[in-house]
Amino acid sequence: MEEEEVDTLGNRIATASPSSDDVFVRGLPELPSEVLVTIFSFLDPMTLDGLSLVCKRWKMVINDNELWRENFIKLFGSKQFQSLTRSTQWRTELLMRKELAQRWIKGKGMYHTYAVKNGVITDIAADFRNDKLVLFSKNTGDLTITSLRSNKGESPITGVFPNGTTSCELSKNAMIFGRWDGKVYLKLLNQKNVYLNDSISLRESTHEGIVTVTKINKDSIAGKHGSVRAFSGDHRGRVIGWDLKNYQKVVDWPISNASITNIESNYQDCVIVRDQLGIIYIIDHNLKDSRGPMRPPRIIKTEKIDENATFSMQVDFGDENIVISYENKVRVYSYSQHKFGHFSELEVPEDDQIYRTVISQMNLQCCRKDDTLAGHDGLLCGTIFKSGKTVIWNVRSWEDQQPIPIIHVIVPKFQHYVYLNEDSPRVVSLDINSSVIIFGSHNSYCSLYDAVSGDFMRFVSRKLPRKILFHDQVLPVTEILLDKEDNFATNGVIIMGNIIQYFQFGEQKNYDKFKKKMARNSLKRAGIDDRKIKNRRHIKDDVEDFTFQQIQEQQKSELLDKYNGDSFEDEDEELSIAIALSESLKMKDKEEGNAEEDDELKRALELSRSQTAILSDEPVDDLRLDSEDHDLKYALDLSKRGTQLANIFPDGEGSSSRIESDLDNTSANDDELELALKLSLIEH
Amino acid sequence: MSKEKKIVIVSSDNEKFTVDRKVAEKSILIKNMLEDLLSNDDHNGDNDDDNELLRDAAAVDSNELDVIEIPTPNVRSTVLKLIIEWCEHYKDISFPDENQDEDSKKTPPIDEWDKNFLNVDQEMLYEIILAANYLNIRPLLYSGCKMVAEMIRGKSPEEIRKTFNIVNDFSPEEEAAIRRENEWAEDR
Repeated sequence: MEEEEVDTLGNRIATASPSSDDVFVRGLPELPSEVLVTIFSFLDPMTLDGLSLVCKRWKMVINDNELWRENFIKLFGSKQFQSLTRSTQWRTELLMRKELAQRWIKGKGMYHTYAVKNGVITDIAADFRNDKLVLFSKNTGDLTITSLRSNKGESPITGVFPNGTTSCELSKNAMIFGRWDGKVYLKLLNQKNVYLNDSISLRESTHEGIVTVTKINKDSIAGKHGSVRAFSGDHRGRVIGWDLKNYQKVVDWPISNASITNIESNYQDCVIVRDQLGIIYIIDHNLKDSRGPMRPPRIIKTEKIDENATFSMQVDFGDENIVISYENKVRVYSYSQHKFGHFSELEVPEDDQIYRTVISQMNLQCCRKDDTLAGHDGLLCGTIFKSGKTVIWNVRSWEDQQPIPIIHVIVPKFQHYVYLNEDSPRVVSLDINSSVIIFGSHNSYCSLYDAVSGDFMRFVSRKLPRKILFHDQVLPVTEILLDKEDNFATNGVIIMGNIIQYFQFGEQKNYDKFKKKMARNSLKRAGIDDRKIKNRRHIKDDVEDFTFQQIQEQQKSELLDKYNGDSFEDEDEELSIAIALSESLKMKDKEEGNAEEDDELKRALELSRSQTAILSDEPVDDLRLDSEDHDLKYALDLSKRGTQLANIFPDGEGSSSRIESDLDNTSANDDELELALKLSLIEH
Repeated sequence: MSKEKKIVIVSSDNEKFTVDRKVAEKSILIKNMLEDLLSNDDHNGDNDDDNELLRDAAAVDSNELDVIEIPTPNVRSTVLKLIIEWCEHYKDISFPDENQDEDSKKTPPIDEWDKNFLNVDQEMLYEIILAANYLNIRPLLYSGCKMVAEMIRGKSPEEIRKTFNIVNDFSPEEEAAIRRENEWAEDR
């Protein structure tokens, strides 16, 4: 590389000023373009816009994408990375990246450390926008919902497991459980008071055996009718897709004969299922409207792995890659049309083992890979080795049957290092977003590295306060979550056992203007008007919230009815119809401007409510008449006249039932009805 | 014999500067050149007694292994002198060879020493930048570029033209067109 520079630079300068003994450069404009770009790269985007007004050459340099690309590679040493700005302009990517790096490095750190009274935390879901953290312990069944930035409103609930749970998954809105008897339960976490919110059994649970895997859409669980928002798989190889709005199953696929071990989906058009034998099934199916038969799945055969081995399967839906990782192997398989079944493997030194592999997933559902973006829209993946070495590689850049090209090998450094023993790994967790990689050590410290250059940026975590530690406990970093809802966020949360540390660097700067531009550009490419999308999204969110509340209310009232002691469900329904009907009648009365009728009706209502089924039968019969206004009016008149009647009613059950039958017979005929009713009056 | 090689850097006006290898290797260009030149020697050389004779012979045969002259045909002696001064100052500080972007991580935007060092007239600053670019001394290049960037920052296009003696080669129509474009871009 240096040799080349000698040539190009040497030539350029020599030709620029042949009389080499004299002064070469008299002014800034005569500097070569690549030096100008380097100078410009120290400025901010706004200033640059103005600079293109200075002269033609500057304008050219500022808009020369190739020049910026070269400068970017010189600066960061990598040209395959995850796009921060989703811009095709290397200039934009470079400047924003530098600005963000500054914020990560120099931003004042704000920390909040607190302990939760949960059992050992195994599942975590963080909602950075709504300041919500959900923690769950698979061992004890404890669930804690707390505020992310402080531990206000912490509400640990013990034993939320339905008995006999064999698998579960947590999202920020809900939890899904699968049981040994094939039943699947959903628990909503939206409500403020989760105590009231008992687990909801999903209907038609027809798993014929132990539920081995449950998966839930992490972003949102309420969708259009018929859209799949959760999956469950059982030990007989069956996979069921659930509509969580109606608590119904919408797809039911007998996929394999072996036990299902993994399910991944983008909840749009693809489900990836792996079974115990190591066979991966790719099912292309419209999951937003799941009617229609299942197409035969595409199959990739992989190695069968010992059940006890730590195994993970992660999917890059944007570029159609599957990453599997276990003790001594990391493999990436492609399931795209033109590269189907191709794979590449990470080289693992013989004396080392894989500890953990984490894919950086910004927006799971988001866009297909876009090759025109600066950085070629890479997707980074980090693999931790037991020796403490970590390897960063690009999930989207490899050749069939070649070793995976490695972008960085990082041996992270931490503030303090307590030597434990050879077998326990030093680096125990990591997370990646488009700008940074964060590593967690076995003794609760974290360090931050630049995702593109692989350079060290800063130490992240604070020393844990004594008062929340037991003795001289050494806590490994269980999990780190960076805020991925916003590319420009500089915050995250570190979980160490039952201690939570929230961190944030600098103020969350407002990049709204830029983001708008970004969004519009990407939409322009997709050919969609962004305002529409935004509105639609907004409405969708609101509707989701609303339907949830409704469903919740409905569930509650159903439960209430049940527990009120009326054992006859049919009558309950009838009662509610009766109430609804008389209410609608009331409305009509109001239209007629008759206030007295209201009172009377109310009395009648109260009576009908307090009385047995026979009374409530009458309005039900009215229901059959209600298409005919005349009939209704008659009925109304009758009820008006019949205040006394109503009072008498309870006395004579037999007569009222006669009325009922009379009504039945005469429903078609107005005159007859009138007659019959008069008759019944006389009878009384 | 001493393992220390003397490096002589020759400026465009044929002035010779003798420096330690450590100092010269601040320039990645020179470092790579030296590695290429000395690679055979280094491979044989490392405290391998059998090869001592051979190596001595090689050294006797080729004087240039003891004194290596490196010509820098586009760096004037006055500039080269400053560059070497800079290299001397930083000889004990190791910058990571690549990805130098964040050498400012723990220091203020421009190192104070660099700031003073680069407090020269514009022409000299440009020449230092050019030489640093040519010799591939990234930290110096970036410090220089930052200096210029500081001079640009916060100025209007007109002021920039004045400061740097740039001729406005846009016609008024073109200028208006660009302004419109920028505004449009900002609106969005």
